[in-house]
Amino acid sequence: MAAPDEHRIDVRLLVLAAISAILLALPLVFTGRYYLRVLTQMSFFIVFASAFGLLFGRTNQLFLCIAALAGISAYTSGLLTSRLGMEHWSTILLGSIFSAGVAAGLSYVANVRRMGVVFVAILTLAFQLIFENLVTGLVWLTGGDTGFRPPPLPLGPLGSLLGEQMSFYLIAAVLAIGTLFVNYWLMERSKWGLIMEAVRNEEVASEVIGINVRRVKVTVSALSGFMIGLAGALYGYFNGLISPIYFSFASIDILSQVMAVFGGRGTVIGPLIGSAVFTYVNENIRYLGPISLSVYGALIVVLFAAFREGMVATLRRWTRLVF
Amino acid sequence: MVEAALDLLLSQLPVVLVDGITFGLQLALVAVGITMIFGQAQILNLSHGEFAVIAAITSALLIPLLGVPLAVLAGIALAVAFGAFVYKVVLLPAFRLQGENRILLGLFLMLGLYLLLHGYFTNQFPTTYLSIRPEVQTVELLGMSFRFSAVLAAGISAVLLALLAVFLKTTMTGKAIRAVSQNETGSMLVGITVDRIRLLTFLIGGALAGSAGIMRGLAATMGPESGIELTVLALLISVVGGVRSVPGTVVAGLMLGIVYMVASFLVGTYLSVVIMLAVTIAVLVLRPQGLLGESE
Repeated sequence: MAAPDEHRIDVRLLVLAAISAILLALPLVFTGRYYLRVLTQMSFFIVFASAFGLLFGRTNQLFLCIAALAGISAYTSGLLTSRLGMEHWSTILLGSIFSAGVAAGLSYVANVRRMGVVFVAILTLAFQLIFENLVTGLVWLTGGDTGFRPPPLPLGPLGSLLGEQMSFYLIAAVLAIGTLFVNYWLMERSKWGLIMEAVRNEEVASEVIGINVRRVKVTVSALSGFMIGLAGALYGYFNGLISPIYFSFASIDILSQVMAVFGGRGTVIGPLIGSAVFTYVNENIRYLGPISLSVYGALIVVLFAAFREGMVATLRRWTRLVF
Repeated sequence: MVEAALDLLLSQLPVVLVDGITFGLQLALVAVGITMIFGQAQILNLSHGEFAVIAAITSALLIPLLGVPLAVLAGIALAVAFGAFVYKVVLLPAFRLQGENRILLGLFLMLGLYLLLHGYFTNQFPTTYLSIRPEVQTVELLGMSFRFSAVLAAGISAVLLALLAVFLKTTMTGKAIRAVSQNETGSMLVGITVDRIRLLTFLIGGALAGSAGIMRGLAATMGPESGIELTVLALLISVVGGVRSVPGTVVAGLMLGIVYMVASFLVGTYLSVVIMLAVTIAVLVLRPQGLLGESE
């Protein structure tokens, strides 16, 4: 919502600026290779969770293929650099545009056929499984289950100055901050926020007052696909290995959903809160192995049954109680 | 090379076909449950395949103690009980909501339940596999020999599906189930207790999925991780068959089962899954109401 109250808008921008500063300063507090890795992971998931939250929370499109969208870009970029020797950054851009196109295509098909939310879920889940099986099955191209090692990202002066790990963290953090600001502008400052709110609440009524619902949904999907693609390609280079396991439903989609819903889907800083909390939780239940999947299952059940509003709405209520 | 593969396929065709039909009927058993539950309660049951896992793992654990028939019944009974638990406890928050909110909440509750069960079973019983092998090994049909267990599994599945169809068409309860699928408010007005009918649907869904798990153990092997494969393939079948139509589901099950087996024979498992998913997306896009479904 574009708040008419100028004063409040300033406060929100200040909060975002403070969050950005904290994100960039985090490695000064948490030093060491392990912490840096975890923080980088968190930054990537801020992007994934924000994109899921934007698609689901603001346009009512339940995309169950965040991992596939990230993977498309990662595989495109990784294959172009390793097979054709192309330059990294342009392939990352190319991969992200490809992801954006696929996301827009899925959204377009769903809207043209007027699919309900369940059918969008089935469509995107089927797409996710096609992606997983395709990259696992085409062994000659993608290395199958074991994946392939893309040539490392040339980090230039940044890499020689700060080291590889720190550079990756800074890239991921800047991407996460960028996502937060884009989402802030999109949801709170531009007319898009109001348009999405209208579409989410009442599609037919929005059509009647002259909103092109299909165009709104497809555009938002393309934008989200692009952000996911950027993060996905960089995530591939960060892991140093592009394989199906990194881009499976279980490893990206489930976490993104939990993070977005816990923080508050369709809010700007909700996914950030969710990523921070669940990156911490994830590292602490890692020792459980396969049973950690059960933990996330229970979490999804409890979150959706009892905490659908998310952290942002709850915090808002608490602060209202105090003031 | 292509010709050699085709020759091999032709010589093996009857066996591959029987495997496809067997698999397709098992998938149809799971899919009718998904279809009925979605029709009744607008819940997309993403954990439906886990019902089959519950039945299979339970009977695999009990067979040394009780013998095959009792263990199998106990397994199916537990799947049925679990169906009641899901409806009465897990889905309780969803039924407080209406319309799209209920659909969404139901979807996520079932997704969470699937993860919970999948993690539990693969962690707790990683090496427990159900594999029932009858003493008779092969049967001769039309001069070809087939595996007896596969034919038996196909036969039992077909009988169960036929019983379900007769039940839905002829009995008062069956008609009540169809009535609730068509119009919830209307059924209430003519005096149907919707809650009880829905519970019954979950029980039937649990029983059929449980039987599918046992049949899979008879025709092949059924392990703790096979649930999601059944769920996904059955979900595709529900979509292709129309999410509300039971006969459509059976036809789609047979079709996809055969396509799946022939395709895995020719191009391997991964790419055959890709082919099946692509077919499903095509049907979803071109005929959202399914092959035999009524247009709304």
